[in-house]
Amino acid sequence: MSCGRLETGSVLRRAGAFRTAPRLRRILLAGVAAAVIVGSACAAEPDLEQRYRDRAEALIREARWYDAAVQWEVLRLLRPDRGEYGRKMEEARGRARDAATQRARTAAEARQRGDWLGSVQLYLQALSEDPGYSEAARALRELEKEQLSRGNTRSLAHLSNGEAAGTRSAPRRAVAPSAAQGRELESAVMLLHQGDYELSAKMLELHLRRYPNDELASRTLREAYAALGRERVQQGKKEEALTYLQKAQSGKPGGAGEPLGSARSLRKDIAQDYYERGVRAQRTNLDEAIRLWQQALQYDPELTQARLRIEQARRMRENLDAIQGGEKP
Amino acid sequence: MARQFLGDEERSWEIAEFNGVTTARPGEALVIPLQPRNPMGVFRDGYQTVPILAYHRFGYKDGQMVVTPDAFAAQLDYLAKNDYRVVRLSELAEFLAGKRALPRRSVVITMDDGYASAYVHAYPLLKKHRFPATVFVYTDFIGAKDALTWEQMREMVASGLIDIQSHSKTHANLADRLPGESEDTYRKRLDTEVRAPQQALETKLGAPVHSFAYPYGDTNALVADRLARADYRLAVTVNPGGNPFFAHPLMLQRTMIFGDLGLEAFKSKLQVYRQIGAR
Repeated sequence: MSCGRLETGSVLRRAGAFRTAPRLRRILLAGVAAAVIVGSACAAEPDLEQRYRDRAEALIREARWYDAAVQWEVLRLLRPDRGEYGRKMEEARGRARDAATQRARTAAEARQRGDWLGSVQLYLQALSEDPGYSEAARALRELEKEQLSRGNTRSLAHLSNGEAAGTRSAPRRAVAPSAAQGRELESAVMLLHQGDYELSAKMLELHLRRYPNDELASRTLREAYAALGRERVQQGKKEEALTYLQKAQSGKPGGAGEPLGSARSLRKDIAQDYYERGVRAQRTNLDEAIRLWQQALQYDPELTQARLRIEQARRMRENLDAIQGGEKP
Repeated sequence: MARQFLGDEERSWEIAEFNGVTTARPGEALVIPLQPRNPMGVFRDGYQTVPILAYHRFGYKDGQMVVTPDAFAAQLDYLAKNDYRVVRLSELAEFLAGKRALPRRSVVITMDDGYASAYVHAYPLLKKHRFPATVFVYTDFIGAKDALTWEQMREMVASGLIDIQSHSKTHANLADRLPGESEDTYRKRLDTEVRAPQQALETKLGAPVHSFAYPYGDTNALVADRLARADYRLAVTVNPGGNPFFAHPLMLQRTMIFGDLGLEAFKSKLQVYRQIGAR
């Protein structure tokens, strides 16, 4: 029995035909829907056949249908006389496609709900079930494009004030930048893009000491401060975050925009934190509680509860002092 | 075998991976897949991503953007010894189009601006390893004191390893509209920035220009649109990370390699796989 001619693009050769590898005796060329077998007496390879059978069956136990189908395909090439291999290949391919279709359906539902991340994961899972499932690949590319266009719009809205969508005006430079100045600035901008906000901010601060009128550098520095502020918020370091967000806001014409809004809500958050710490401290240390509420008011002078608590605590303190004074011998 | 049956000896890894071997032994039966089994690199637990590394200048000067030849040599050695495969940008384009599988640990090397140090320091090291790379040149820089010359670029292109692509004409931040610039003038300026270098490089070097590195890594929808109209297939930012098959070809992520980056930190930049669920 000889190795069979395959579905498409097939070639049947003997190993001796290889000038580059003359000592190779048996070579099988196989593929997914386009395969070739080369070699002498490849069907008389019981070990090889058994190896592929074992592999296919193990993959089926793991419900890895697509990979199993590939193993059955090799077996079908090895033993074209055994019809069961072809049937098993088709069955495994069908199961892989069904699993992918199911995942893709759930992914499409997630996409409709606006769950971008969930949808991406499900489409990836669909492709892992069946790498040939082109609908999932197409959906992933579309999702990426949608996400990018959303990200762009947000980023541009953040950077510009009422300019045409998709562009922003370049800030004026007082003087033309020198080559060295340009390189410094380029490094800082790239560091900012790479997420090294701290180093970017340091470089820009130095740069602005030398070139205080470089508005591009000023704007980039504000972006770096805002990014540092957001990073500190995520780390739970609210006071540091506030410092950065205030720096991001300073010198910005118009005074409106995201950093100011963020700073305002952050101040309220910090005030609330101090207020609650004061409430906890009140039971054991009245003076500490008063100090914490005062701190809260520094961040949010409109936090009326803190004012009331301070007044109440002060009265309590006076009463305590009076009692303690009366008890004195 | 890869050359004979797959038409490209660079695809030998596909045979190796399919059979789970690194070398063919006499008498061993091998299966040669004639079509890539998983061209998008999506697996049960995760998916393949291709990092694009961005260098600027090589030498011994101070500065974030200057990588010493010793550090670059160590980085290339690390890639070579740890089964990373340095692939061409054009191969990445085929991967993104779903037409070509790439080895699991694929990496692209790029160098921005067109400093002569790319020829003096980087090119000999790349040749030593037979690693391909792309140099993004802004054409107004050519002829400057520290810049590559046309002759150097021709020599590198002729080696078959180095690809010269566009980094704009003037290196202005294309996402910025000049003060008082109208929409129409801005559009025309963008067209000059993307088409002039393409024309100059293709004429002088005789090789197609299909990729663009945004100056400062900065872009917007209009710049990407002008690139698409000028038949650019790929464009790279400097947002860090690896690129999966579904990455937008005109918004590719790219990881900067700075001068003070140690080898350990360099390793961490080689993001070649992402778990499903981690975006």
